Amino acid sequence: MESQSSKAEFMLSRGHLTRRRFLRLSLTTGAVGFAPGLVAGCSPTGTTEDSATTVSADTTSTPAPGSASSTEAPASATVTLRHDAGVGPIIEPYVEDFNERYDDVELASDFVPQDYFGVTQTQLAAGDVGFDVFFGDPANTQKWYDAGFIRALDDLPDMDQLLADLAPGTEDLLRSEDGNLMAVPYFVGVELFAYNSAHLDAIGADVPTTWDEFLDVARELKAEGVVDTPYSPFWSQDFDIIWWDFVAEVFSDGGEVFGPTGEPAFLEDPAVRSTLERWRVLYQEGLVPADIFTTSYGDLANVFAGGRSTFTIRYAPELRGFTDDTRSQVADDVRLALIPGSTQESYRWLGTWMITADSDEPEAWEVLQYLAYKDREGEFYVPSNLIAGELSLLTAYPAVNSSPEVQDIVRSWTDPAVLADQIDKSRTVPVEKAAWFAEFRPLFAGIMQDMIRGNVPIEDGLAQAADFVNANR
Amino acid sequence: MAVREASSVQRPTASTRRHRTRGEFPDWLAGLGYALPALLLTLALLAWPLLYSFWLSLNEVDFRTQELTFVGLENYRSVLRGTLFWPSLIRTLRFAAIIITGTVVLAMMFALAVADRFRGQGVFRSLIILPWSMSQVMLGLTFGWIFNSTYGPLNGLLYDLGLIDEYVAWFADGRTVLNILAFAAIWNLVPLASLLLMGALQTVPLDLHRAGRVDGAGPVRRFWSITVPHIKDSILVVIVLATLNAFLTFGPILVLTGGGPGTDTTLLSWLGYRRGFRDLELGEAAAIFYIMTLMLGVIAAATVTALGRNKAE
Repeated sequence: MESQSSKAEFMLSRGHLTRRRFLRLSLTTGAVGFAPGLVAGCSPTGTTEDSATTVSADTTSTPAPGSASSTEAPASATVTLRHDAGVGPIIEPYVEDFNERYDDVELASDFVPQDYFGVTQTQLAAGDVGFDVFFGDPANTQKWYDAGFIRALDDLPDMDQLLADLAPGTEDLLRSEDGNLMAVPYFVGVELFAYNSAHLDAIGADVPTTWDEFLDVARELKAEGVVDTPYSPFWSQDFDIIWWDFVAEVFSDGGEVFGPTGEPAFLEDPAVRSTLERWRVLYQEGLVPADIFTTSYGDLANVFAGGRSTFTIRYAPELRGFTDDTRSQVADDVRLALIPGSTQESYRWLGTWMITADSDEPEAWEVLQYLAYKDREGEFYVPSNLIAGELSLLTAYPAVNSSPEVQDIVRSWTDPAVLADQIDKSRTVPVEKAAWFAEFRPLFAGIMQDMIRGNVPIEDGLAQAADFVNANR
Repeated sequence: MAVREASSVQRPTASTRRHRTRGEFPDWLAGLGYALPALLLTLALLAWPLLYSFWLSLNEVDFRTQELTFVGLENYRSVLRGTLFWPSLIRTLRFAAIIITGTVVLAMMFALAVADRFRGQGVFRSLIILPWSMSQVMLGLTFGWIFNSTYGPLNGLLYDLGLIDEYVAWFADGRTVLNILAFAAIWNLVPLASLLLMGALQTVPLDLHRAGRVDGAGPVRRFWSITVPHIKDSILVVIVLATLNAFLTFGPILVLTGGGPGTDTTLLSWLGYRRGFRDLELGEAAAIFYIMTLMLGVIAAATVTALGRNKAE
């Protein structure tokens, strides 16, 4: 033993490179090298594309443009559509329809199973993205436009016709700060209030029309043992979805979150305060699920669909799903009502389609027109069938929304008068398209959760959020 | 026979080295030559990202022009002044402490349990390595399912055993969530750590244990006085691995918590990801990861120093 250790000491002192020293050196280097490797791959010129997790649903097995084998592709040009996997099965038939009807363009699809915006943005930042047409929301559009990830669309043929057909006020939400058109509409979402009529019948309560009534009914439902968590709002950080509920409830009491030039009106707005205070009460009294902040989007939807809550707020595709007895255990009891509050207004927002900066023309525009506007026959095929029909969303085109076919679809799952009333009583948050907003929303989502849980005083949380807005706008 | 052969080989000494024949490579050069391919690979895979990310941390990235603007230490200043950094750092250190402790203790228990021969030892050893093969995302999904407040099997088990009256919302409280994430990381790492310690345990001379027993030392005393000193190197390696795992835990946060509730599971790794890949602040993200790198470097260096000191003793 002694001789071995003295030998080791001798070899170390002589500076010999032994296996042991080499391994130690590697261990140190490895430890030091691990963490920065995480970001090194994401540079403006790097290629982190491979690291992103995507599910390819390319039914044609045609490679994406820019990929190695795409140069060998024959005749028709390939355009790749990017979407989150949640809507994949609904969109896929339209991809197939496009490929059947358009001989000169091949449409492939690429669905992201998780963290759609994070994965998509990472690929956009890395360059050579492998997709052409993709969806987003106004919160990301300006940022991606500023970064050069997407192209301006003004110069595309017949764009003036598309713009002329839009509902008033829509175009402004699509234009950049320098006036260029960054995106075209995918759908218009409105946050809607749904309740379980059987639960209310059980205690003989009417549908609440103010938030005070709402709290009383919720408490009674819990006290009577009808349901343990009467309210299942979407307060999770998936897609920062808590923001949608927040704006809807603030608007319902006539509040405002931002001023006309982006000033943080939420700092002083009484409806903002009362909303957050009410949420804190709901959480503290166990009127919402205790693990609501970390429950996934799908599991949150299942709380209402499984009859474990009486009230929820979300947009039409979700609520329509609640009325479908193949997806919901309470399908017969789901009703729509105007959101409670002093003004009963709700939050309206826009989903958009964009084209990546390096996409081939005119094929990508051909696909975009098919998805967002009219097909070659001049029909609003996707807006009518997919958006208004299967997803029960509003389109950006009044001509589609008011068509008898679409009205029939609405009647099949809810009261069209209530839906129309809520749509009329809805408004947008124009400042959402500001470049800083994409960073603000997740930050505020975390702060809101901390305020609701009582970990951060409401004053401090709002001040922290306002500081961010003032520093960045 | 083997012993005689081994001892008959003339070991190089200082004097024999001095009389090296002409044309023969010095030992250090030969060693370097053997190690060079691996060294070059290591440099290519680690040094380049290391240097580039450091450069990124000193620059602001403009995606439109594809240009980097040198801003010096501004990104570091911005990170250190941020409201999320210090709470995330403290949380990460606490998280690492749980993982290191849990991994070392559990791995040691497993290693000791399977060190002695018993029937089915091979099968048992094969089985305990399984959790290590699980990816971080799968790990997150699995633990999310186990601890789910509605249909999680843990709640079902506890309820059936009469230990709880109603299902527990495990993911409601941030501290509990962080502990669950730590438990998942420990569960994932313990197999590898166990194998390392198992290998080390086999090098402990049985004679010393016999001598200790003759001297009246009990199992605990022998463990601390004989076993632990002999396997100290391996324990230190396990500590480094556990520290790395703790600092780089990301997948379970991505699939389970998104850094919440609130910011209760926002560790430095998640914060760096968020700044880089959500907010597109690559310079700040690189700065965060570089701060992590420095911390890991210090820990690794301290471990290597300790290893060296241990050998010298």
